[in-house]
Amino acid sequence: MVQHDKLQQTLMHLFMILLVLCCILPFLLMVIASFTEEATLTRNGYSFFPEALSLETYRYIIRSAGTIFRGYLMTIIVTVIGTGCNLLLTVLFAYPLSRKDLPYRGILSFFLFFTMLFNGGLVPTYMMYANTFHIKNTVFALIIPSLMMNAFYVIMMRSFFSSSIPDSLIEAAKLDGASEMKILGRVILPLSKPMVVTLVLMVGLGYWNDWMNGLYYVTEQKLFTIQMILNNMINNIEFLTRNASMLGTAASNMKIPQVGIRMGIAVIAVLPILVIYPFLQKYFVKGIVIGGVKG
Amino acid sequence: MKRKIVTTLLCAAMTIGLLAGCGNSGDSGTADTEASAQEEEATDTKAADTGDMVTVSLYIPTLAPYTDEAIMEVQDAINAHLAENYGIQTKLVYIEIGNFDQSINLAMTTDELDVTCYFPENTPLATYVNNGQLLDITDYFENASDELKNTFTEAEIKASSVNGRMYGLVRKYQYGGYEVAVLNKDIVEEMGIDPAGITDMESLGEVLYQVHEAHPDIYALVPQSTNEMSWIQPWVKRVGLTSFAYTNDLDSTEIQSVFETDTFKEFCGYTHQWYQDGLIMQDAISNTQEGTSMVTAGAAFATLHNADVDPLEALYPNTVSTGVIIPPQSAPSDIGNLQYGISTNSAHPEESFTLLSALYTDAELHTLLSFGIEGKHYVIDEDGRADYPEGMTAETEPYGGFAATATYPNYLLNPVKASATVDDYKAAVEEWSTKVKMPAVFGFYFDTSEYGDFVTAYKNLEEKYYEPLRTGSVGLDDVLPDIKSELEAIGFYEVIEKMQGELDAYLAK
Amino acid sequence: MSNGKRRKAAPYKKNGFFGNLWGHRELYLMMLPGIIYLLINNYLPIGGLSLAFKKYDYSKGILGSEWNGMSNFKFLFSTKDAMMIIRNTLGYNFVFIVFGTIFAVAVAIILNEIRANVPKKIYQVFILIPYLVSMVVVSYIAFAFLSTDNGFINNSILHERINWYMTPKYWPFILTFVNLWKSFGYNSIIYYATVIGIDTSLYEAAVVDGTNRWQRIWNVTLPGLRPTIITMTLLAVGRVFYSDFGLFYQVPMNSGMLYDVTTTIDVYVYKGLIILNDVGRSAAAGFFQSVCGFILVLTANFVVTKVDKENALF
Repeated sequence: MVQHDKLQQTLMHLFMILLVLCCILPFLLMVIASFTEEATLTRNGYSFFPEALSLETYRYIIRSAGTIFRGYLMTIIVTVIGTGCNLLLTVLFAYPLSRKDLPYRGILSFFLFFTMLFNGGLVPTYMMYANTFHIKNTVFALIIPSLMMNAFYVIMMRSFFSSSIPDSLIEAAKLDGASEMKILGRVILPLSKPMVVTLVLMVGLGYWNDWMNGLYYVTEQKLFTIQMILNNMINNIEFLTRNASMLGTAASNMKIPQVGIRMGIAVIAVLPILVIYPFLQKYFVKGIVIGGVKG
Repeated sequence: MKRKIVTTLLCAAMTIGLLAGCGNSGDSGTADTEASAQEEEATDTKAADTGDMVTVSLYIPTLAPYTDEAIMEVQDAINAHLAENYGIQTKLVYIEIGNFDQSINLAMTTDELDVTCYFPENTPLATYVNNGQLLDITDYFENASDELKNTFTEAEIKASSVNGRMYGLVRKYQYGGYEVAVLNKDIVEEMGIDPAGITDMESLGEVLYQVHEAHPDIYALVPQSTNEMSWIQPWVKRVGLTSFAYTNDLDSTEIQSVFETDTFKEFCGYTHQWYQDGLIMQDAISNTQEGTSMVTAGAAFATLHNADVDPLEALYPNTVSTGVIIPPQSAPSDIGNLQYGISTNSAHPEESFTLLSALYTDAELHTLLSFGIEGKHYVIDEDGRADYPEGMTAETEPYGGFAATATYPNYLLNPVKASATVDDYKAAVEEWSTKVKMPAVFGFYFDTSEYGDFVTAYKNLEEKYYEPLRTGSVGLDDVLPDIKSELEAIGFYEVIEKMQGELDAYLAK
Repeated sequence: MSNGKRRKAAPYKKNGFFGNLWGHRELYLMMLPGIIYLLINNYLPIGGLSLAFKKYDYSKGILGSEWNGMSNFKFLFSTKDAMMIIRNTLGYNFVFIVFGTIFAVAVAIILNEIRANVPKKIYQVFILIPYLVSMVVVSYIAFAFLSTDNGFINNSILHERINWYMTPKYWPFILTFVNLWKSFGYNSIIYYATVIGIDTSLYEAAVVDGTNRWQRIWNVTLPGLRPTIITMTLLAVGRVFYSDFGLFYQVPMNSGMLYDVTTTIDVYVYKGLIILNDVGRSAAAGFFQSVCGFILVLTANFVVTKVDKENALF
C-alpha cells in the first residue's frame, strides 16, 4: 500500500514537472532568441544553445530607451490606478449582492449579468467616450473604458462572499451596531484576502496586457503603454504586408524591426509580470489556504 | 469613516458624469456638434490673437518615428504661418500607419477629424463615399484658385472622383515603377556576376542556382517585404479600380481572374520551381522581415524590388541592382492610391478646404509640414539641397517627415533632397510619367457598391492563394481546379462578365 | 435620479419599493458607483445595437441612418463561408470547453493529492505563467517553434521541413494546444482553490471508511468541484459564438492557406471591416453573438435549475 502510494506520488510529480517545463521552456526560447546574434538566428534557427550570442537587441532597446521607459511608466501608472478603482467598484458591488436579505437582488444580478453578453459595440462606445466625455488622449482613456469593472469578477467575488463568509458573522456584527461599510471593511474583507489577491492579479493583468483602449483613444506618444508599442509594431508590419506597394520606394524608409529586436521587446514587456507574479503568488496561495481553513 | 467619504465622493462624481452624459447623448448626432466644437476651441487655443480662429485637425499616418515635442514645434510654426496667411489654425494628429485606417474610421464618426489622409487601395474610395464618410468637395474645387486646379491632371481628378463628384485630392507623386532585383554586393563581386546581364526571370534563375550551389547556407531569394514577392507585376491588377479584376498585360483588355492569366502562370512557374529547389526562403509565406535588410546583412543573396525615380543603391548599402526585370508600368489604381480629403462630420468644411488647398499650393507650408523646421529637422546645404542635420540619420531625427515624404500631399513643392539623383523633382516626375506605360484599361471605373459580400468573399479567396502561389510555396497546377470551383461558387465569373460588358462599352467610347 | 429626493423624504415604510430602498440604503449606496459605471460603460451605448438593422451613414450618425431590415445579417448566413465560420467558432469552443475543463480539473486534483508542500507551491507558480502573457507574445513564441526554416520543431526535433503555416490539417491541433497551454493554469488554480475549500471532515470520514484514493476523488472531490465546474461551464457556454481574436488571427500569422480552419466569426468580421468599413455588419455579428449567447445561457441555466437549483447562475 505504502509502496503503491509512493509510486503514485512520483508519477504525479513527474506529470507536474513535465507541465511546468511545457510552460516555461517557450519563454526561455524567446529570451534566448533575444540574445542570439541576428545572423545566427537566420542561419541556424531558434535554438536553446545558439552558436553566437549578441547584446545588439538590448543595445537597440537602450538606444530607444526614452520611448520604452516612458511606456513602462505609463503601463505601471495605468495598472495601479486601474486595478485600485476596479477593485473598489467590484467589492462594493459584490458585497450587497451576496447578501441574501437584499431586496431586488435577482434584478440587480441580472443587470450585471446582462453586460457580460450584450454591449453596444465599438462605434457607439467610442462616440460616447470621445464626444461626450472627451477622454481622448488622456490617461482616463486607458483606465475607464471596458476595464474598470467586469461582471465576471463581480460574480466570482459574490460567490466567494456568499460561500465563505458565514451569515452568522454578519448578524453578530449587525447586533454590535456596526454599519454596513464597517462590516465590509472590518469583517468581510480581512476574511476575503485570497479572493482579493486573486482579483488584483487578474485585473492588474488585464490592464497590463491591454492595448485596445490605447488603439482607440490615444494618439499621443507620451501616453503609449508598452503593450501599445508592441502592438503598433505588429500592426505596422501587417500594414506593410497588405499594401506597402502603394507607397513606392518611400516605404523602404519604414524599417521593420528585426526578429531579435521584436523578441527583445516582447521579453521586456513580459519580464515585470514574471518577476512580480511569483511574489504575488506566494500571498495568493497562502491567502487561499488561510481562507480555505477559516471559511 | 474615511472609506465612506471616499465612496460618497466617487458616487457624486460619477452621478454628475452620468447626468452630463445623458444630457448630451440624448440629442447626439450632428445637430449640436458645432456648438460643442466651438466651445472646445475657445478653451484650446492659447494665444489671444488666434483665439477666434477656427482650428482644423489634420490626420497623417506615420511612416517614420516622430516625437511629440517635434510635432508640437512644427505645429506651432505652421500655425504662425497659417494665422498670417489664411486666418486658420491646425492641429496635427500623427497616427501609427498600422492603426491608421481603423483610427480615422472611428474619428470620422465624430467631429474631431477635419482633414485626413486615406488609402483608397485599402478601402476603395467608393466605399468611403457610400458610407458617407468623405465630403463632396466638387463645388469648393470649382471655386478654388487656378493654381490649385492646375496642379492636377485630368487622370488625377478622375482618380479622386466617384460618379463625377470629387471627394479628395490625390497625392502628387510618380506613379508605378519598374522591377529589379537587389543583390548582395559581396557575393556579386566574389562570384563575378554581371548584374546588368540579369534582365528577366530566366537569367535571374541561372544566377540564383549558381549562388545556391556556392552558398547553400543563405537564402538565394527572399520576398521583397514580409510575404510579398514583388511589388510590380507583369499582370495588371485593380482593373476598374476593383480588387478582383485583372488583365494579362498592359495591352490586354480581357478581364480575367489573376490565377488564369498567362503572365501569372509564368511567374509562379519560376517561383514554384525555385521554391522546390530550395532557392526561395521556405518561410516566405509567414516571413515578417524586409528582403533588403536580409540582403544587406548577408543573410540572403537577392530580393525583387521596385524602383522609380530614386536610386536604390543610395537606399541600401552593400547592394547592387540588376537590369530591369519588369519594365516601368503602372496599375489603374496607382494614381491616387493615397489621397487627402475632408470628413463629412467636420464642423468647419470651408476652413478645412482652405487648409487642404494650401497643402497643395503653398510651398512654405508644405515644406514645413513634411520636412519640419529648417536648421532643426533638416538643413539646406550649399547646393540648395535638403539633408539631415549634422550627425542625424533617419532613425535619430525627431521629426520623421523628412524620411517619410511619400505620405504628404505634394512633395513636388519641397526642396530637392541631397540624396536625389535629379535636380528638379517636378521635371523628373514629368519625364518619368512619359516613360511609364499605362494599361489600356486605365480610366475605366466599375461600381462595386452593390457587391459588398462578393468583394469580401473574393478578398478572402485571393489572400488564401495569391501570396502562397507567388512565393512558390504552392504549385499553381495543384490548386487551380480548387480555385476555379471556389471562384465559381462566389459568382466571380458572372461579375467579370458584367464588368467586361461595361469595359467594352467604355473602350468603344 | 429624480426620485433620490423623494426617497429621502419618503416616510418610513416597512414594505413597498421605496421602503425597501430606504431600509437597505447603505447597501444600495455601496452599489451605486458600480451601477453608474455599468450604466455608462455598458448600457448607455447599447442603443448602438440598432446599428445591426441600419445602413450606417457616417454623415447621418446612429439615429439618422436608415433602417435596412435584416440585410446586415445576410453575410453571416448566405455567403459560402457562413457554414465554415460558424462551424469553426462553435467547434473550437466546444473542444476548448471539454478538454479545458477535464485537463484543468485533473491538474487541480493532482495538485491537491501531492503531499510535498514546496514543490506544490512551485508548480502553482509556473503553470500560471502562460496565462499571464498577451496573445501577441504567444504568436511570437509560436513562430519561434513553427517557422519552417528556423523553427525549433523543424530544426531540433523533427529534422525535416514541415511547412506548418501552409498546412491546414495541423492547425486544429495547434490551436487547441495553444489555447489549452495558455488557459489551463488559470482554470486549474480556480478549481484547486475550490478543492482546498472542501470541508476536510468529509475526507477524514472517507479515510475512516477505508476508501482508496480514487474513491475519495470520485465521491468527495468531484462533487465538491461541481458548483465551480457548472459556473465556469455556463459562463463559457455563453461565449461559444465568440472567439479569441488573437488566437485565431495573430497566432496563425493570418496565413491565407489556413483560412478554412482559422476563420471564426470575429476574424471574419474584422477582415470584412477592414475592406468594407461596414459598421452595420460588425454590429450585426455582435448582435447575433450576443443573442445566441443569451439564449444558450438561459437554456443552460434553466436546465441547471431543474437538476440542481443551488448552483444556477441566477
